[in-house]
Amino acid sequence: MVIAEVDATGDFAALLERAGLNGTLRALAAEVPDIVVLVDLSGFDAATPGVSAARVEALIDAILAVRPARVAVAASADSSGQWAGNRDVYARAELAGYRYTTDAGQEYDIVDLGVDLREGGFAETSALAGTPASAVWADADLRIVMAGLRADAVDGYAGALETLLGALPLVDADLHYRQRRDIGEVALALMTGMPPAFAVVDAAAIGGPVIASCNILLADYAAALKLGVDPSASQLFEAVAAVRPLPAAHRFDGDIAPLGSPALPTPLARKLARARVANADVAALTAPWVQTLDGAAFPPLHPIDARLNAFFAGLSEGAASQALRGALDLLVALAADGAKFWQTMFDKDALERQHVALGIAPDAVPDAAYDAMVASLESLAPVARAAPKRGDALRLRKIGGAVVFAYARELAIPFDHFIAKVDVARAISFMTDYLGGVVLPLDDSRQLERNLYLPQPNYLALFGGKPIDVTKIEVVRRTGDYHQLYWQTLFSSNDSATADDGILSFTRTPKGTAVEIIGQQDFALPPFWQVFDVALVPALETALVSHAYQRFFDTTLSNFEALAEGRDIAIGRDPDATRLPPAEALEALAARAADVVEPWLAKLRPARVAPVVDADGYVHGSAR
Amino acid sequence: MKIAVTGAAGLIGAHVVRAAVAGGHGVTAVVRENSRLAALDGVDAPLAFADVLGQAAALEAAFEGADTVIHCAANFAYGGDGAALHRVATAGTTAVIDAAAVVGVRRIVVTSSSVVFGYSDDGRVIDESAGLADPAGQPAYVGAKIAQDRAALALAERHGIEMVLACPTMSVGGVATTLGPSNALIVAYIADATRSTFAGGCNIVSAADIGAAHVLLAEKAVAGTHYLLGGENLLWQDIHALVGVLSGVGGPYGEIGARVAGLAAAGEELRARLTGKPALSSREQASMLGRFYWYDHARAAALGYQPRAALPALVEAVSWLAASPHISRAQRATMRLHDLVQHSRFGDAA
Repeated sequence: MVIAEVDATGDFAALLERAGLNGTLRALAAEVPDIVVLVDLSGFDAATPGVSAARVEALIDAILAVRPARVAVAASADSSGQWAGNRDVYARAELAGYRYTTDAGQEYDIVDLGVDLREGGFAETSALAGTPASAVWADADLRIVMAGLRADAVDGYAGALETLLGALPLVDADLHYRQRRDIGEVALALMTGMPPAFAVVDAAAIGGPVIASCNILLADYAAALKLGVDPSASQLFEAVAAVRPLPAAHRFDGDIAPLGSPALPTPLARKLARARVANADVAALTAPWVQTLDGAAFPPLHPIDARLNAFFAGLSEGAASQALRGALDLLVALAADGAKFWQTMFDKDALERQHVALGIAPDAVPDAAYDAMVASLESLAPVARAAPKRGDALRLRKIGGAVVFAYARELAIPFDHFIAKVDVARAISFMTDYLGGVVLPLDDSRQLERNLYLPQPNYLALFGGKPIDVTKIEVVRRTGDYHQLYWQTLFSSNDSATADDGILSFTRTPKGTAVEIIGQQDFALPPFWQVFDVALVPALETALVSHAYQRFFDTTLSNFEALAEGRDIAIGRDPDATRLPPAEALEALAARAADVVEPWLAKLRPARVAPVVDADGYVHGSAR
Repeated sequence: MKIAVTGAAGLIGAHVVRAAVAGGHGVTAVVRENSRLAALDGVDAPLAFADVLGQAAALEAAFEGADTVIHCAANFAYGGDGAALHRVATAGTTAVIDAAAVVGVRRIVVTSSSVVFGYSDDGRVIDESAGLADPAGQPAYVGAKIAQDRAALALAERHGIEMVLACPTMSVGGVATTLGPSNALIVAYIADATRSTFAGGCNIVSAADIGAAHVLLAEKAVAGTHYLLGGENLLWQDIHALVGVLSGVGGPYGEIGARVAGLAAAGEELRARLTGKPALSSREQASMLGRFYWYDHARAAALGYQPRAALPALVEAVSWLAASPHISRAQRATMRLHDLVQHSRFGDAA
């Protein structure tokens, strides 16, 4: 593996050759291959550029010097188009200086990866399963990512991985790929389904070199080293590297000593920025305010955004201003945290539904594990059913730190109708506070599932409680008189649970349908609750745990009933529903508030009688 | 009979159409062009399109061939645009009577309201002998209905048409596309995290029974007469307790007065204005708390009117509301429906 770098005045073509591009080009089978160069057009002004057009055109010249090819420069629209003008691909390319012809007279095309989409480009186990992809990107014989190295408020720095996300087509990229999915899983899905063969990171804008590699992760790794930051400061890098580590043997061809002192966000600033963007609404609302923006090139679409952007920009000079800006960031971050907590507790339909990857190969679990799970859970069932009664329909005890429980109720809903409406194989997704997940059926009875739930109990969100994220093996059994689902935890991607196993049964009864849920669960507690160990006060622990389980399964059965009634029970926002951009929603709310207040203000205004001027020129008014 | 029913897509109107069809009458369902027709799903009755505030010719065409008109089209709301309430109640009813006269309709049944007979502060049960109440100080809806009844009786006499006034009490149940104030009171209780109740009481009746009662009045009522159509007189705390049991939300746990309810309603109205969503309660409604809207339907009973008690009416209402968009997903998740409600929807599993 080769990492090469040159300074801004070095021989770029030679660099690319040293990094392995020429060999890659010559290995292409097509006589005239289609090569797509995905470029960074995310900049908003001269201070936050993407990669320069001149550098991209130099790359094109270097490619075409090796062999004939059809080269396209590609990008896609992003969420900024919702709040600023001229953010479509062609406008940004023109403003960035792309001319469709290089200095050497080589022609290239500019392509918007948000059009000409095709379904089915991603594996069923991928975080992007079911989403469309650009046919141009999918069909390319060679994919190259060309990024500008820059500071990033959330990740500290942004390089090739960040630019790779620009291959995705949906306009509201922040919503679909950052809020509704794990950004690391999205990048992995792209790297797996439509892998780039070469990456270039240009640090010229911060006085650094050009870095090139056949491995996109290595390119970002080297870029971080040049910046003098921990590569894992980037959540994106960290998430990708955790699943697809750097190649064990790699070589740096060039100087990897850190640059002087590039201006990067401090860890505190990154933490605040992450808190700010953790809430989708706050993230979308504040994104226009915190950009360094060339308002002439990319005029804000909403007056409120223009004013607040100018306000924040005005705080950029001086220590006091920086402190004030930090305080404002803190306030916004606290508001975002508060909003997230409020939504988790009281406004679940405002949360974003999540898409996740299964995170495991379909054949990773041996068949015997499924049989062993069923036997194990059937052994657990009598233990759970004999647990002390802790509430209406609930029995519960602790074994080995895990909560073992049985919850049973009979619903006056005919069994045949019930099972037609409540598919036991999908029952995990019908449970309370299900935020998203994926099910992969392997055959008629076995399946793999990954599910995300809100923190349980919900109030743990206030203490930093994580969503419950568990990948499971499952067995489905159906007969004429009962339907059952068995599940057992394989792992938790976010370490939120060590056990989440159970049996769900729907059984035909004279009254209708009996529902029983048997389970054992061991969820990780946030640090506060680890220190304040309620297990030391058993009565308190029993009360809290029993209340939490009673609420969870009461509402779960309400969900089952609602499904039987034909209702939709999914929490979270419908991703396809039309929604106003946050600034417009804020303006609409302000307008309605003004309508409410106006009559009251009118009453407070002193009545004025217009003065009358008579024929002699005397002015008459009301005497006071 | 050949009956034309205005407001046929509404809660009462749709039940009138169903009852009339079930009774073997020829029925024309008169709706507006933009009406949502979900309430008439599965009903075998031709549609005619006309607006009571629109072209007279459309109304006349809709009534052509009918010997009876049952006029249910109304704007039922507490709070909001009082002038609009009056316009629909008086000008709309006048237009219906005029059109009916043109095409030779013999009898008209107009949907009025029990509130035209006022209320008591002491739990006294009111019947038709109380006469129309003084509209002064009453909510705009009450004043509009009183004005409607007076105008209807006078105009029908001038045209020589038999006029009957049906005065339903709080009519609950499905199926309707919009949430009227009666069903909204149930929704408001389920949505109220404090599970509060009020002083006073009202009369609860099934909307389905009211539909059948309109047809009964068309068949048998004495012209020029009001008929109170009630079900069961209950205290608010008993109504809320029933809703609490049937929906599984429990309560009520405390009683609030009209002043507190007024403040809460003002907050609800503000929320509705800011969010652009309908309010579940209003200050006008709050002003009615503490009173007894208790009525005696003996006059209608003498014709054969036999309404069910409040419990089955509320069972029907909760069953319909639980599955309707008027109960939010989050509210539905807090409900644990009583077996009676499930049986109402799904029948007996055995």
